Amino acid sequence: MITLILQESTSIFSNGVFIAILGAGLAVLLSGIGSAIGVQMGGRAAAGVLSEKPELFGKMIVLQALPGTQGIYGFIVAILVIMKLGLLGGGTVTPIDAIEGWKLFGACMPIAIVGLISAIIQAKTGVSAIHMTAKQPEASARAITMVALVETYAILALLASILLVQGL
Amino acid sequence: MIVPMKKAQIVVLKEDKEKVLKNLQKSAVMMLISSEEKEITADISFENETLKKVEESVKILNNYTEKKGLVREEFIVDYETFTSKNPRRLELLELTKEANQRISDLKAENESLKAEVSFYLPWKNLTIKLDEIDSPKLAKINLGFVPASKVDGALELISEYGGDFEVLYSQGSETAVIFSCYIDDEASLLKDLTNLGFSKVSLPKLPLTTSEIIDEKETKIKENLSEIEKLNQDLKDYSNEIKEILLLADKLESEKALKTAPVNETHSAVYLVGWVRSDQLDLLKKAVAKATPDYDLAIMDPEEGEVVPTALKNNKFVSAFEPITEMFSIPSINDVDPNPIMGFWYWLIFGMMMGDAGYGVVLAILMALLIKLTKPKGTTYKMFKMFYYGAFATIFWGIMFSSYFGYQLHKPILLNPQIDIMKYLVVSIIVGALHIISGFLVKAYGDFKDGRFVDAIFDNFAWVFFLMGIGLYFIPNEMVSKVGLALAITGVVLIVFTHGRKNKNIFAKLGGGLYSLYNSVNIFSDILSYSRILALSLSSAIIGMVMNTLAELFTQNPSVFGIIIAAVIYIIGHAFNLAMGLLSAYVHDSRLQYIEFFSKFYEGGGVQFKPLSMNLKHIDKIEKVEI
Repeated sequence: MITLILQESTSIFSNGVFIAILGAGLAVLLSGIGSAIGVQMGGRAAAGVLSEKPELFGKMIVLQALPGTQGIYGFIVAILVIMKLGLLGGGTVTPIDAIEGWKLFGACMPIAIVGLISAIIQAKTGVSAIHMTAKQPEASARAITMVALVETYAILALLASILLVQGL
Repeated sequence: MIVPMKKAQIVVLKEDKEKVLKNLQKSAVMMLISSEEKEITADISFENETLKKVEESVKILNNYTEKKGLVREEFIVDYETFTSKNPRRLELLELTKEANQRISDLKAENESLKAEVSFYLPWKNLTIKLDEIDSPKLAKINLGFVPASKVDGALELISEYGGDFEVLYSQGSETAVIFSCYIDDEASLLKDLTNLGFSKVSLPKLPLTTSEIIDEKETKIKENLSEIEKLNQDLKDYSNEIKEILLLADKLESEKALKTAPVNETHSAVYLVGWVRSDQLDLLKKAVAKATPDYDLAIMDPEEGEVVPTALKNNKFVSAFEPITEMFSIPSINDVDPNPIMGFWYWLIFGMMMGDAGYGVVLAILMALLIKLTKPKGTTYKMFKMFYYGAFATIFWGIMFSSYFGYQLHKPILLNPQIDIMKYLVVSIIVGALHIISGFLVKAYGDFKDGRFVDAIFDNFAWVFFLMGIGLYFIPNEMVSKVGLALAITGVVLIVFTHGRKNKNIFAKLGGGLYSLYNSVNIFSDILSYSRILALSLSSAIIGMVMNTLAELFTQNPSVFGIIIAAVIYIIGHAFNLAMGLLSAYVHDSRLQYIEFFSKFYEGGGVQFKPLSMNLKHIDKIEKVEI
């Protein structure tokens, strides 16, 4: 029985496609969670502001949406991996060995982890920026720039992931 | 470019003050400043109060105007109508307010009438007048509600006391009853009934039957409703004249601006100081001369240390990008106007980030429609125009990448972002390096203009040589590569040996130079930051492709249902991608200008030139203004 389980598990972890899909899944999962939390934080702060100043909707929606991009970045890396594996569009899967699988898994990690954390941290800056914009609507561009600065690192992680996936 | 400013001083007779100010306001050429530290104490309480009323009226009438969606008609009046004292405008304010007040009064009255009707309704079947109920001498008549479940018990009880009763009305859990009993029994019967859940009701003693009362109230409600109807119609009629009210608001604002204009007065003369654009001096002279022949006008150059306002003069294309700079900081009079060069780069990078010809076409049409239909003014107009121009850069790069709504229609002219990722990264970096080099060149231009030749060459060209040298070094051509290396070394030597020149000690000089060379780390990280162009462009391309793949799943076996679903996916998917792409391109393109580009030369911190003008908020244009 135990040997069967062991055999089973080794066969899972020696299946490169499985490992690569695990990585792609984590890229979407973690960065998506980060973005959802981030957008939610911004949304709550923005809703409070809008109850008093509904005319600021346009500015608030931009600030709220900014931490939403990490989820998209994670999705993009996952799509690249899926394309690499030949899973997209119902094609035949190209079998790869475990090493190749782990490589793709590793390539997914930058955007998975940085996406998760940077989205939440960006949202914290975003909440402050929302409060600032509520008091000084004319300073919204500066507020947006400050929030966008945090995103740089998510973009760098995305680039690293893309280059790794593409390079493998 | 930044228009040079002149300071103007005007002295006129006191009796001409109003005329001169009005002419200045009409021509909008002079930004008045107060020459002394003096509070302006004009009485503008009438204007402020009326403006408040205008706001209320507009709010009310907006509920009655027909909504035309986004479409807005241009509001043009001629000057005569604008300044005429039309009493109808103030009257409209009052009428609107009264009608609105009356409507809410009537609605409140109807509410209380309805409550009364529901109070009398259970007693509708009483056929006698209410003041006759208590007439018998030895008997007592009572009205009240009994819970429906206890009705039988209550009626039995009344019969036991020898009373008479009638059930008048029954609704839900309550039943309305009327009963009579001997006067002596009343107290104990009531007590017993109350134990059963009876609650006594006393009706007012009116010489009317209940149904008469109900009829009366209901007639009143109907009357009120028809009056509300009529008032609504009135308000609808007033809302057709809403333009008069908006015009009044603008007129009041312009009068307020006149009243609060900083003016210095002596007992017989008036003294005005302010800023004028050097290209509008003729207009100023004309505006003053037309008002009065007795004037003194002096034009001076600004003094050192004075806060001079900034006015920009740029062509149509460049001025569309001015809001980007303004949001960062308004250029000061000492700056070189960053807009011409920044506008070009913003346009180019925006196009790369969007990078799809299909989206470009959609964006261009969208922006053209928005401008045509909503007729925006000021910053909003410029922003729409900016995205409109940006759409053409998007089309250009879309053709370069051969990307049309995520489909590849021909062989890519430059590269395919999804395949030639490394190549695109290099292109992004080159664009970044050129962007930053152009920043140094603008700084050098400013230094040259102000006569700081040494700074221009050593501080800025040193970096330009360095960056260009490194760039050329990587070109696979032995000659060019060598030239590049030489250029880069020249740059490094210049940096190390000249950047510490302001320090006194020889070691400090060298140290300053080396420290400056260390700053190249910052410049390289700035250049690497342009890799976001690739990242954003690629994410837009991949999402577009995913949407297409999803939609194609439904068109593989063509059926009506499948085609409809595919169409929905195409439209919603690409609309989403376009919106997200627009947001990212706007935000990150701005960031590249602010952080990477402006840090090389731009200081900002200026004050906007705001001449005394009509302060129009609602009116688009006043025609036939004669000065």
